[in-house]
Amino acid sequence: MSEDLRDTKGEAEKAKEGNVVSAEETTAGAHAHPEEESTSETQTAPEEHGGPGEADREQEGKDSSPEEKKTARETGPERKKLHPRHRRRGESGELPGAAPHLTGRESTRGMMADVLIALLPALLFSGIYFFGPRSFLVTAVSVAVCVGAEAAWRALRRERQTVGDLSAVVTGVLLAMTLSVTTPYWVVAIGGLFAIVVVKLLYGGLGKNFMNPALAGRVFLFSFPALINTWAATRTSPDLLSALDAVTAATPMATLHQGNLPGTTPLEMLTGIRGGAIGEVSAALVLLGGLYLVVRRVIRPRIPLCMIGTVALLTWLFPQTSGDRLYWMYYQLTGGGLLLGAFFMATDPVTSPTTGWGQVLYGVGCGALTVFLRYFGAYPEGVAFAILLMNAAAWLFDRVGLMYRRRLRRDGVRKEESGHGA
Amino acid sequence: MFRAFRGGVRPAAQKKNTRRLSPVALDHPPALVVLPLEWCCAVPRVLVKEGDRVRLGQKLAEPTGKGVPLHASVSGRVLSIEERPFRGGRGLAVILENDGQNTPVDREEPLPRKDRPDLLSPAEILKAVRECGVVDMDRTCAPTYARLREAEGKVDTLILNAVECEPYVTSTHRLLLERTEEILGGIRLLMRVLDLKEATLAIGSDKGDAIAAFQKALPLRGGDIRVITTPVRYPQGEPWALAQRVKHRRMSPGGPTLDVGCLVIPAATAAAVYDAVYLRKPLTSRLVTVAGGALGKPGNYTLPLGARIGDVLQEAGRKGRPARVVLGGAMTGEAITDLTMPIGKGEEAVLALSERECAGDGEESGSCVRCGRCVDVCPAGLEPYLLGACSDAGKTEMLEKLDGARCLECGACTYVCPSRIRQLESIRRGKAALREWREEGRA
Repeated sequence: MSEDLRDTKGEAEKAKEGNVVSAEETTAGAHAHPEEESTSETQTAPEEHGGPGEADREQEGKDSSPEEKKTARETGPERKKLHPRHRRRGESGELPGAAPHLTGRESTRGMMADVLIALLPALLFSGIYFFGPRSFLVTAVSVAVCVGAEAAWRALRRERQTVGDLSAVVTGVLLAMTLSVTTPYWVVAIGGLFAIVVVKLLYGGLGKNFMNPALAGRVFLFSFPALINTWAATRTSPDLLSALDAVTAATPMATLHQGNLPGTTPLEMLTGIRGGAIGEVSAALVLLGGLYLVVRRVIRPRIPLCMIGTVALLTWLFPQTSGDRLYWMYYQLTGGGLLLGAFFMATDPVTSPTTGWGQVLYGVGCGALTVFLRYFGAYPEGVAFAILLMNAAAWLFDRVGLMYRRRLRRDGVRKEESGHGA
Repeated sequence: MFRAFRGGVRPAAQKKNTRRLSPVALDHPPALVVLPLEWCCAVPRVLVKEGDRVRLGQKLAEPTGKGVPLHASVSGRVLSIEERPFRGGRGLAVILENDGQNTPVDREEPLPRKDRPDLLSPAEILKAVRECGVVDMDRTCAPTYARLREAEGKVDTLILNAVECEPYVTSTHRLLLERTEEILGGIRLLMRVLDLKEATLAIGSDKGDAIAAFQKALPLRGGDIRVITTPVRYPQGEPWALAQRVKHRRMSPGGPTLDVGCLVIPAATAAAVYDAVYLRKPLTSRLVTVAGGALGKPGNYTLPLGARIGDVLQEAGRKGRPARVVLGGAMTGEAITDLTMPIGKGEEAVLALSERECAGDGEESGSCVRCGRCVDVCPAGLEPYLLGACSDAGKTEMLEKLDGARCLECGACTYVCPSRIRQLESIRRGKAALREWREEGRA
């Protein structure tokens, strides 16, 4: 049934023929016009159909040319299986092009590009309307440091460059979004370096980190509390060079942390005319970006809904204020980095669970921990720590998810076996 | 709304080029055909030798044991009987030189009445089906008479599979339109064998004109054949998925449909059964979709069995060298490099894909970002990213725990992966290792 698992002899023979096909193609250039194929092909093409004698000649023609290639490849233990990651067409011991022969339209780079597009409105508004052009510079520095660090790392280790997959750019932008516009550039740079080098590259690069790099970089910067806790007032434009004496104002989160409803109106909370980090102030624009990601199928709504839903439930059930609990819930939902974290950080595929129920538990855990830390923690914001802690436990949630899926698979069979018998 | 199975993918259909074209024969019949003896049975009794003249439909080999006779698909001369590769392996094959006349073999018996299947006994029908070499015309190529015999008494639902969910393939679609009456006749014959009052014809929802044609041919209600529409989410065309859909109950994905009392037969086989019983015509040709970006004249062609792929592609206007030649559908077919391989009874399509169409495969695999898309689409409910990783790392025991053996090898995971990781290949290796490991455990 499965054609590729034939006897090794047949496979090896096919592999050689297959290697010929792909070798010829790679030499001719992957994107060359089909007519310009290598000369050996034009010789054999007219002979491919016709009498059986000619067919035999074609077979031999195919077998004789890669004689040299055959001996070169057959050295060493029989057909060492290369890891798929390092395989190029024709180099593996497998047929070039096993089923399926089509690929879907999504790519990792495409997903990253979509994330950047989703973040664009929030960034633009911050830079143009809320906090002035320094927002752009902070972002630029962050991205430059992240991309530069990854490029340098790869170059120094003589590995293939990976900055093309745009993940470093996304990390840079996300890190900047979590910072205050007044953050000194060198602090931003340190954060970027930590995020990329320590959290991502030291663990093996994309796909191997266990904590969200941008968030971990942000949390690392809590080492400089005085420098990053200066929150510029909204509609101001801090100085491009040294912003430490910018006009500051208490952020809504700070007021919430003290148990009071902040002075900003609900509309201001939604649109972003309030203090806070570059990317988190405009709840509406972050939501828009999140919606874009859901529509483009880059993320599934499961984690954001669970996280935001849990925060909503808990803050509504247990308000810290004596005032209207709905207002309290609303301010908690739109204030701080909850929306940014829920849609852009918690949904990072590498650090979140892959199974359905795993994601649900993870989202609920993020939400619960956010509320807990906001209420009882020292900092007014709990999203970053909550997500990072849940990142560390993502594997546990996946265990539950995997168990559930296994039960579903096996139970389904058992039910049928006991039901309609043959 | 009942979903027959979780997951699945919807690749771009790519059927525009061939869907509306009526089937045509090849302009130039193939100079020779290759008929592997394995299509007959494992150890056949060969009836011809080199140099014999044969006619279209003449028996070339008789089965000893389970199998069907091998018939000549063209008239001409036996050139040789030698070892040839074909889909599934290598083996002795009868090479016929085509004289282009298609002289049919004489038929002695009178033909039965076409509208009265009840006048025939199941044994007669089975005998005719076997004698004419009818097999399931999908990639399994199981002899139909054997399947029917095996299913006797165990089946309450006969399902005709006309879902055709794989991209590029439109041969069943055209067949439904061209041979509506024959397919219905064939279904009624199958019902007679299985002693059923009802059968279901499942047509994919993208074949609106075929659905309309069948609904017109059948009474509005109370008919013996029910036409249902199924979504074309791949792999809905797989027998187990179809059985789930029709019965509205779950079964073990990839498992035998007899477990839920269903027999799933490809729609093309129904037409072949009709030909076998009412026309005594052996199965010597089939409708094949020849498509792909590297062809100038894609379409549905009626091809004699055993025609070589190279010949067929040339007739279909091959432009230079295709990036990949696939025998079968785009998701489950096998990429071949030897263009002298023959068209078999189970090949519904031959694809000559251009570089752009199978672009993704040239890309290097990235690292798994654990996005979970493979988990979402797996119809068997597995976790392909884990299975692939375990297979590569050689962790066979872990593979067992993750139910790796249940993998249907449908390829949805590989299709959907944004990092272009070829899980299917890794999982196949892992499954082979798992089989060995289990054998060792038992030994």
